[in-house]
Amino acid sequence: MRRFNTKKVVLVLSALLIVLVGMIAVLRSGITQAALTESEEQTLEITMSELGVSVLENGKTVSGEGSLLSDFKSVSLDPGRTYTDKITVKNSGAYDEYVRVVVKKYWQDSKGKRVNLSPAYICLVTGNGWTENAKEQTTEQSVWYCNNYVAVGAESNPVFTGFYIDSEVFTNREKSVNVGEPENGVIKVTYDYDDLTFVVEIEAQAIQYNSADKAIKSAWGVTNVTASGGTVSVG
Amino acid sequence: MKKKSILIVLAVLLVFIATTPIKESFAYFTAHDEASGEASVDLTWSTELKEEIKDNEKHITIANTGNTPVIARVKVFAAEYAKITAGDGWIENADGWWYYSKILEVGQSTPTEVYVSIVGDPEYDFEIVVVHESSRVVYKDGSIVKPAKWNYVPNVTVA
Repeated sequence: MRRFNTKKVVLVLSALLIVLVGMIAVLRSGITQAALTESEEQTLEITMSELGVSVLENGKTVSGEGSLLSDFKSVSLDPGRTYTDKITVKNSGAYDEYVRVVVKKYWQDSKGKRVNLSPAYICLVTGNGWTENAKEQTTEQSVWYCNNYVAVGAESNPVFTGFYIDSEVFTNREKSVNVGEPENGVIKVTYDYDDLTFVVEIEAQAIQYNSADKAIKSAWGVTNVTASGGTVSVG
Repeated sequence: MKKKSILIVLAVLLVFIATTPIKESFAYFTAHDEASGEASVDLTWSTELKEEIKDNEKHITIANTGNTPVIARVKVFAAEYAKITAGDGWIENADGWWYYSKILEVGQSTPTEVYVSIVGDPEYDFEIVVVHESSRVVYKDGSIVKPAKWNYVPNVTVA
């Protein structure tokens, strides 16, 4: 009767184990190796419904650069006066969703962005049903979460109902100069914020209704916002 | 004995491999849309003083020549022979200034005038100097902000 050589058995089993571990490691790491093969091409088309979200200004869909504030391009705005401009978000997709808006505002002149001037003078009047996440706030940016989910085809409460330029811009006096003949004594005052434009950028972001808690953390990267049962809480 | 040990080691390894957690990898459905826009802020304003002599009287008006509503006031410096009056809408304040009590809209002139007439029989020549000031209409909390050193502004409430 032939007896097993213990050393050989150990070697063979070890080799098998190494191969097995290697295979499992490769499969679990998601690495896919493609070999040169020949095969018939088979195509399967799958249509997936998607989430969709749109920004609305006074009930009209706006999208892209220059689409916002179009009613105010030829208006000389009075500092301190509130102008009505309703911003809402619409669920234009095929599933219920949670939404937030990321708002950026700043001053610019013909040379570009003026980072030394305060965006705080560009004031947006907030509506009801939205909560700002103070942890995501910067001088230029604010992030607002809709308190409730937005159903398919529905429009949210206004996140903003209007805007105004704080009249404190007049406290930033650049210089006073005599622009007339000396005997006429014409004094002209100019200000830091004169001849500038202010820019408002609004990005609406939506996330799936199901498993929203995990989705918010994963896709939006925030840990103090939770969502369940259609309601959002900002901690 | 050796065989048994090898089998135990193999069993332990297989259990370890089988129970090693697979790294989670989830994708979530998201969507986004962006819109941006800009608007101009013009902090300048401009007014012009207009003086006319009619029937030995000086008639003074102020015109808004800028692009934004303004408020305005006038002060007259003259000898005691000068009498200053004004039409509707002008208010004389204790500080010696005559304030126009309404907002002057773009392109508008004060519809009424400030008059400077000569009373009595002046015993000497004198000059009449007219100074005017204006300020852009600035709102805060729905009311017009009073410019520094002004003692009056029109009582206008804006939503």
